[in-house]
Parts: sequence; C-alpha cells; structure tokens
Amino acid sequence: MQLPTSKRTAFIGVLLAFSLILGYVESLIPLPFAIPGIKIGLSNLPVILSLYLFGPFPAFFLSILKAVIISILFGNMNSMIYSLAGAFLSVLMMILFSRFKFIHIPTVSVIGAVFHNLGQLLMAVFILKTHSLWFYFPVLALSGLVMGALLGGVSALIISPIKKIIIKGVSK
Amino acid sequence: MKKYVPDLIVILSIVAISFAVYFFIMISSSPDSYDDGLKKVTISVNGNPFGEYMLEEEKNIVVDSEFGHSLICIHDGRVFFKEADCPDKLCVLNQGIMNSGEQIICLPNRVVVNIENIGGEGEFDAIAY
Repeated sequence: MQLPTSKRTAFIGVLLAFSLILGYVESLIPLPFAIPGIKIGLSNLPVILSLYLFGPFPAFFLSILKAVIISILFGNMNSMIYSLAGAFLSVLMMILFSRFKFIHIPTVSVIGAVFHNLGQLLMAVFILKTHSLWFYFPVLALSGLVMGALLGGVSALIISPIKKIIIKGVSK
Repeated sequence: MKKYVPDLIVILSIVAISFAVYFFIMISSSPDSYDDGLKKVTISVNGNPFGEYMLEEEKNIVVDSEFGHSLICIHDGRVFFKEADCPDKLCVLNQGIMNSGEQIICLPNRVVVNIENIGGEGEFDAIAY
C-alpha cells in the first residue's frame, strides 16, 4: 500500500494499541493448563492485519513489542521469556507462510497460533530441561488450530474493507 | 475449492503431527511401575538438580530460589506442593504424585518434582507372551 510514512507509522501504532487491549481481554481468561503466557490468541489479530497491510517488518516489530508490553502490563515478568519465544517463532513462520500466495490468511493465522504455542513450549522445555511438557503439545496445537482459524477467518473478511478505509482516509 | 488444497494440507499436517506426538507420548510414558522397588523423589530448580529424597520418607522441603518460594511435602507415599508463591498455583492444586514417571511442575518457580525408580528404568517397554 502506498502511504506516507507518517500515516503508516500512525496506523501501526493504532494496531499496537489494539493488540494491547486485546491482550488485556486475553489476560482476563485463565487457561486451565499451565504454560504461563498461553493465551487464546486474540491479540494476534493486529499482527495478521499488519502483516497483510504493511508487510513483514511492521508485523515482526508489532509481535515482539506486543509480547513485551503485554507481559509487563498484564502478565508477570517470568512469563515474558516464554511469550517472547512464542511470539518470535510465530511471527517468523507467519511471515514465511504469507509469502506463498496459495496459502490463505486463515491458514497463516493457524500457523501463527500453533507456532506461538510451540515456541512457548520449546522455551519451557529448554529452561526446565524436561521433555515431559510435550504432552501438552497436542492440546495446544489443536486449540491453536481452532482459534487461529477463527481469527484468520475474521482477518480475511476485514482485510479488504480496512485497506479501503485506510486509503480513503488518507486521500482526503 | 481446489485452490484451498494447500491450506488443507497445512491444516491436516498439523492435526497429524498432534496425533503423532500424542501417540508417541502415550507409548513412551512409563506405566505404573511393575516393580515395588524403592522410589526416589528428585527436585530440580531451573533445570539443575536440587535434591533427592526417598518417597518413603516424611519430609518438608523448602525450595527457595531467585524465582520464588515453594514448599514441597513428602508424606504418606505422596509428593505434593504444600505452598508456592507463583501466580497460578497450578502446582499446589495438583493433588500429588506417587508413581514413578509422574511429575509436578511449577513453571514460574521453575521447579520440577519427579519420581523415579531407584536403579533407573525398571519398567518394560513391552511384554509379549
């Protein structure tokens, strides 16, 4: 999208703020099983939007920053390392898969969700030096699949209208 | 519809891998021990060994580290977290373990409590008659 840098920055900032609010909503929902930082994935919506609206670098920046800020604001500092690991792997894989035009937005979102959980799990396995945590993986993968698909479906539906709104708003 | 084939491949791969991991875990996790041998409780903090105790003992173990404080009790052949200062308290909610191969993990405090058979793996992987 052709946008002046200042407008671009502003919109990315709005997406970041949006992801923080979604992060707050997520923090209100406790999950019964146990890897700190495991979330239902709402806050990935702005990351997906920024990936398809503004490109891989803003998406990466958004993902990492979101993980840090949300951990500080709503999580505890201990969960930050897990969240960062998850966010890092997740956004990298999303960027990779989004390169392929034949893979559509909901699938990319699923990839993001699953790899976010996987990244957190890998970090936990690494820190605790125990492989028993792997028995969480099937549940995490499947729930990531479901939530990712839902989120991705929403993203796919709103991406074109949002593009139009952004462009129309700028050309005033 | 045909244009969604790659998506389906990705999704199904994820599902397949989940099931594969699930079965792998099921197969490799040790059953309730066949032997009634002695069991030991190992506690590790942040991946480093912290201590080993016999399951038959009665002991209260204080685990204090830069990650937090937990109190682990061995009582009546069970191991459980009596208290912990982690935010989720999932470790305390765990009712306790008594069989080898079972674990309680407090992730915020980075504590892993394990039960092992003395003398390493005593279970059989498979028995054929």
